[in-house]
Amino acid sequence: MGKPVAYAVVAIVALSAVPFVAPRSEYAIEVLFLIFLYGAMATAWNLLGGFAGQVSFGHAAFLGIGAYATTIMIANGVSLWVAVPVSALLAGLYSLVIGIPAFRLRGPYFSIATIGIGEATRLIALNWTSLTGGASGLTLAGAPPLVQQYFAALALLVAAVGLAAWIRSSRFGYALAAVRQDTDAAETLGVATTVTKTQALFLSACILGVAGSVYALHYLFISPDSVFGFSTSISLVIMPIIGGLGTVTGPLIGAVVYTFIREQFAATLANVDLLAFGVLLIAIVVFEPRGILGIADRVRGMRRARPPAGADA
Amino acid sequence: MRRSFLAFAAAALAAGTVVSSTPVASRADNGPSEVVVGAVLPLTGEESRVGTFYKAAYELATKEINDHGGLQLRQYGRKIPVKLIIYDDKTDPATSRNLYERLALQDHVDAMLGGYSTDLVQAQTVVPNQHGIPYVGGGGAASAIYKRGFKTIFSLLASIENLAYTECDFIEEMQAQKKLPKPLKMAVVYENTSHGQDFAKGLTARAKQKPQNFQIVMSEAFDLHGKDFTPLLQKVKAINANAFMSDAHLDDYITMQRQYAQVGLHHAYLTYGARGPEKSARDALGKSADYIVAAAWWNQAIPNAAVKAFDEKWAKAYPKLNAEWYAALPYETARTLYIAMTETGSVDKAKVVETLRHIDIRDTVLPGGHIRFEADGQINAPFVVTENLPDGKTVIVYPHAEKTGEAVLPVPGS
Amino acid sequence: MAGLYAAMSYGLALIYGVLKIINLANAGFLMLGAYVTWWLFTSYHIHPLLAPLLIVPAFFLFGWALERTLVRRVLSAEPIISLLLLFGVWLVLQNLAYVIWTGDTRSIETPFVEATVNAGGLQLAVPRLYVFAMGALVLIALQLFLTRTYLGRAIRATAQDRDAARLVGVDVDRVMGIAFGIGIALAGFGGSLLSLLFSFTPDFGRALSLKSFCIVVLGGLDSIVGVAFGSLALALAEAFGVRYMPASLQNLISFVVLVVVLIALPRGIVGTVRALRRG
Repeated sequence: MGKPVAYAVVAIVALSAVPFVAPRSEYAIEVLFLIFLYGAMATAWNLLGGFAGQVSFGHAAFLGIGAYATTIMIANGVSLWVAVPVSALLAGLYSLVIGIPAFRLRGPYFSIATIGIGEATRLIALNWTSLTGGASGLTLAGAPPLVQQYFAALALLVAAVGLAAWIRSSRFGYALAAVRQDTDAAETLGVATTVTKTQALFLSACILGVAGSVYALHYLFISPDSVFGFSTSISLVIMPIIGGLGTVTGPLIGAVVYTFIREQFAATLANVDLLAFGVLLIAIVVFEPRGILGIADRVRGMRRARPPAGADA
Repeated sequence: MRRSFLAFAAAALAAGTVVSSTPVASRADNGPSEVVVGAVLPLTGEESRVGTFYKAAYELATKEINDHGGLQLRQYGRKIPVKLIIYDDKTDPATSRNLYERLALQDHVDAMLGGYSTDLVQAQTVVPNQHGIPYVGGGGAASAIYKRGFKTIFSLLASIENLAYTECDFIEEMQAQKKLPKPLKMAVVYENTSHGQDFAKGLTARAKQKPQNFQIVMSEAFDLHGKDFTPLLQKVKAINANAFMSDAHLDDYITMQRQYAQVGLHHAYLTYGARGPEKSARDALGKSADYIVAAAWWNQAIPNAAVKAFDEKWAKAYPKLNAEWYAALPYETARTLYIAMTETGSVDKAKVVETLRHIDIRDTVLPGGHIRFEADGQINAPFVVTENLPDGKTVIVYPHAEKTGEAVLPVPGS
Repeated sequence: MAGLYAAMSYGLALIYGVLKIINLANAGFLMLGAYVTWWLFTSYHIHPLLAPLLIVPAFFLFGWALERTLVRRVLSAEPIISLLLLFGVWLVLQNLAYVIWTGDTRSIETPFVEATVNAGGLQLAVPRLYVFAMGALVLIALQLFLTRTYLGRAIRATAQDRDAARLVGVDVDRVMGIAFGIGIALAGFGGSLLSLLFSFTPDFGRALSLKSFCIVVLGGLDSIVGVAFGSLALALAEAFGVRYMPASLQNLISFVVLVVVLIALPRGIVGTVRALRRG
């Protein structure tokens, strides 16, 4: 376990240096910021979708709640240090409200219910005009400097990945894996499956709540369609799958690929990016469900299998 | 997992570098080699039809400048060509905002032209405001956009409340001529966006002010880009109204009006706010689009020289695109920005904003011909009221200065 | 509305019944059916009512090929994998449509689409009546097919118990391919019907597909008759609901119904009634 930590520290130091080494390349910082934010969101989704195998198509709801809570509190003069944890908690509470009943459903049924939950949450936000401003959305007056946002997103990412790494090697992580592999068997082995799933959902929602705070402070304007939109939920599903479902670093790799393809193609070749994600998704699901990390493992395995040069002489 | 952290850091850095590695235009002492203007438009997605027109119009206005060697900027003592960068936001507010951020941070634009449709404009205007970049738009009418205290945002699209008032003025005139019942019992259905809310707000205010002329018997919002309005229309049918006052986007207008006909509704007065005479809608709806009244920011039939000249230019450049208001408004939007930059004589952002604040342009293609901005950045321009007549004809029925025909009201057969 | 809801949900129920997977790509095929109808009409002047004659066989082949090449590979994996696969198919279909047809709103214009008839003082739109009739017709045809033909019985046997069906000599692999093909063909047919009533974009079908899920869940996921009941129930709930609540919340009804039913009656209406009768 020592080695990954060392590598992670090197990675964090390298990424922290960017704003000081290249202070003028604001756009690169912006792109890295987005990668961190999406990476944290994908990692959060993966806690439930990857570790516990409960695929949610409605996770934008938690991002939206975090974003709205932060915006509303800051607009009313609440300090950022209060607003962010409260946002996380609200997103977490909402996850309990929907999770406890929804987890009576298994696998695909749960997934379909989450589509409905996500859309219902968006519609409620759209129509609760007195609180959310309805379709007109809410605007914040000013953003913290980009470099501060950069470090906030990096910190969030590190926290999310750290949590994921810890969970993976903990008893809780084994319980989640048991739920994913066979819910009934896990139950007979004495795992309280519903409680376990609900805990994963709660943690996942809290991280997304904080991501919502970061999102709101970066974008300054939020509306039901932007933060609660189905396309946000979709991107949260795509990233971990591309990178490697149920792994610690897979969602990060997925976030890099996703952000990169999107930033490269979004401006010029519209919808080609989503088309590419669709093809990628099909290919990964059919041929290598462990995503890019799985492919990397295979390549490495092949290299190892090959005898060293000159060995046959 | 061991090395993938490093792989992540390396990949992230590489992605950041590749995406952002576009050379910045070099700036010599005699000014920039080109003036960079950027816009993000919905070229795909729900609003792509209108977005395509905006792109065509921005390109036409820019081409006219560049055909004459560029913008004559006093401070540099020469003409500088304009480079227009247009991105596609896929009708998605977050993408739209991201791409405006890219225009600001990566392309280092000198000024921005606006996108289209209220919700996108709401999200994207945050960026020019934050970076102090002049932004001239012609695609977001909801007054909420301009009530946020933003200082660098200007819009040529008059507010939807104004639109509602103009239609009410017209209705009052028709009532005086006994062409419409008095009071007019209005069933108001509006899209659940700030666009639609403004429309309802305008009608409600007028009804309160003149209850002898207007009475609202129903007021309800519907979801944007809806597919089935039949239950809502059944509700309208159950109510004894003699005017159907809707405010909708183009696709919703087409869907709703088709279902209006299918449900068998008839009213003495029928409007979809700004929508009505669009050629695509009339092609799609056929006879059921006849007698729809619309209050628009512009119409091809406005009888003045500037409109005629624009019409000819447009037809020559884009023979396949009919000149709609969403051709003329963005064209005049880009022209307004270029005029402001020429008047300023430089690309200094704060100075261009200052010029825009006090700008006064006459003889434009807008109704009344006059462009100047209110303190909040939004134009205060009149609307033209049109009515669709059979065989694809559209006449301007209000105001008198722009009138090209007589209104046929109440709607025959109602 | 009920006929329409039913027409777009039969395929979903059939595929679930036989293959035990949820066809998340249903929305994509609905959309594709609408676009093909529109494309045949505008490019080749084929009347929209005749379009299904081409769409149904073409979509059947497409669905069958899809099952052979992709779906089959994930059938034995966790159910989530097939859901994600079909989600990918949906993404591809939707964005392919954006690339081919752009995001412009399309609609089909014929005198038939505009026609109305008077029935006892009620004005009824002809295309709506037609769609309702088609919804009922497909129900009858499907029931006859499933109960009276060998292939239909084989499909039902496979749906009930795959291994048992294999034991009695049913070529289960072939049956699953055919059932998937029929399911896709039904979605294409539903999409073709939808194009008579609505204007559409490549994003078309998402909201409707949620309604499909709702209906299928209401009906008990694998029962064709259940689908017809589910459609009727949802259509009625919406029609009455809108009278007492704002129209902007109309779509909320189906989601609320979906979530409530999923949680309260995991076996659907038909399943619950069956269970009650047994109990």
